[in-house]
Amino acid sequence: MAKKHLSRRAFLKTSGAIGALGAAGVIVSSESRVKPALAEEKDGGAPNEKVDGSSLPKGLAFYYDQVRCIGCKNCTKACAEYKQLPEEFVYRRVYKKSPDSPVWELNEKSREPWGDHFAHYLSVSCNHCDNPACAHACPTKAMHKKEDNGLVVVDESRCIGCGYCYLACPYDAPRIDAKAGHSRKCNFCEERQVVGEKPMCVASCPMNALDFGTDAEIMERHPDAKIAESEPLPKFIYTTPHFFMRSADMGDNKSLAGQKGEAK
Amino acid sequence: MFLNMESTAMHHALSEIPLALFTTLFPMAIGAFIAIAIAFWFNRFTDEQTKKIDKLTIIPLILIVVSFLFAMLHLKSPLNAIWIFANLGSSPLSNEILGAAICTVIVGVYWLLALLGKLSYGLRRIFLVLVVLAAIAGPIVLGFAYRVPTIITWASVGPYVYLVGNALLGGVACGIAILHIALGSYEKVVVTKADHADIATEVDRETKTHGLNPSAKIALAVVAALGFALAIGGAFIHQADVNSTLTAFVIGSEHFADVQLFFWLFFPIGLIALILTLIAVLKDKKLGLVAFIIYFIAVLSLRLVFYGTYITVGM
Ligand code: SF4
Ligand code: SF4
Ligand code: SF4
Repeated sequence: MAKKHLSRRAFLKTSGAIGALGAAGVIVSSESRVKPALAEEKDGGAPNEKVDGSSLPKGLAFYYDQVRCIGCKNCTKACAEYKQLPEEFVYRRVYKKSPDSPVWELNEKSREPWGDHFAHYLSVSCNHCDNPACAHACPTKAMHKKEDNGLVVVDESRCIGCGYCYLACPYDAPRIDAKAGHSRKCNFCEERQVVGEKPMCVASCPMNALDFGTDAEIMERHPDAKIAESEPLPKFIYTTPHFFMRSADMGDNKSLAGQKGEAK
Repeated sequence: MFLNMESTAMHHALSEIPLALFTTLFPMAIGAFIAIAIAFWFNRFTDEQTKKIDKLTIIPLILIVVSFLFAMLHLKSPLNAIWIFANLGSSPLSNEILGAAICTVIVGVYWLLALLGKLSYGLRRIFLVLVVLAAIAGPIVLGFAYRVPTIITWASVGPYVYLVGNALLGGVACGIAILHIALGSYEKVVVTKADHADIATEVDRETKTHGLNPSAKIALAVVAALGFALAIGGAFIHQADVNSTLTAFVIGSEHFADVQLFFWLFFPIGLIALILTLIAVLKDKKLGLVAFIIYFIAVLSLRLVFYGTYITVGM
């Protein structure tokens, strides 16, 4: 695969950019950036995710620029509002690591900006892995990788809500919606992509820190993209994620692993 | 390490309580079949005693069913459980449930045949070997559920070892409680007959003959003690594996401090359960039920530690 041709680890010495952007106070509300919802909507406003995605190319990936990201959580908020998510969880989480903190932090209950101009951030959702730990662990095959376009999605009619996908995913992507009775996670906005729209999170980022496309498209648009496995992300080898990023150099970056959040 | 502001190891443990209850009760219940097998192996019970033991053997079966109900509580859409075996081979959960179901069917078929009087003395002995194997395999297959390559703290043989240990000690506690009820009520019947003074001496002799013989008692005591030894060993193996994970990922041990109390609770509570079980077995005191309940609490605390100490290779 194309992503194997990329060099595996290179930290860029661009952390100063974050401070500069932060100092400029660039915070854009998600409402001003979010495009109108699609025509296809279920009752209650949540988008209809049951679409024919066979026209999409296989191997769609996310690109994330850690140097540009300002931790505004517009991606989180735009996605959550568009997908009508309950307040307990979100699909795209923005983690924070303050310079003086040894740990990465997550506050899934808040969709407000982190507001710390000196911190590093990491925006992660599902990476629609080629070797998806979630689908391997799922007893019912509700969590599955679609044959036509390779997206990893949940078949709600089969899901028992056991939470094994949530436990197995090293990117902490799926969540169990207790009220709905099944697992939920990012579907790469398949229903938007089939009508030519960008994924909502990508479209809502004020810093253009998020992008998406095939491996080839991402390499062309972001020649400095690397396989996303800088700490605290897991090594690429575990699930073969479709996730590229430009990493900020954090200097004293230590090996980190962690415990999942409360919302399930 | 990700520090979720609202999440603690304790929170994680408590959110998996249905699974903790399932994996506590199932091994202890199926382990009772080991105790019953030992009793039949070393004793030649009268038909009446055999019938009583067989009838009461429904108790561990009911406990197994209850344990499965606990597991169902964990599901948000249990009605979709018809799909649970769709991913056999790949999904640790499919494999676990199938394995546990097979072991349950084996002990269930034994109980049904025994109850229907279809097991001759010889056939029963053969079947009991199968039952013991199923009762040991049952807790081991529960460990299949933990074969998730991305969850590092689950990659330990410790849980397999202590699940088997819990089946042995918990099983003997449950089994001796059943045997005491069955054999004790037999004694009562005989004593009623003793109102006839002319057969009183005969009655005394019969009562002695039909209690558990010393070999059975020693075997049960050894199994119970071995069970506790395995449980302690397994608990420490898992603890050591978790600690090495913490070291490898530069996470302070305080990360799991709030569930650590449960780990240390297991040993004194488990020891009390072992002592009560040994007294029940060796001294014919009816303490089996109390020992079972106490050991249930001890094992539950160990299972909470397991679910609380959860770390993936990533986030
Ligand atoms: S990121 Fe997690 S949920 Fe998404 S495909 Fe990979 S393993 Fe599955
Ligand atoms: S919660 Fe649903 S999708 Fe996730 S592993 Fe269980 S059955 Fe599969
Ligand atoms: S692709 Fe869509 S569903 Fe996935 S994180 Fe972005 S907005 Fe949410």
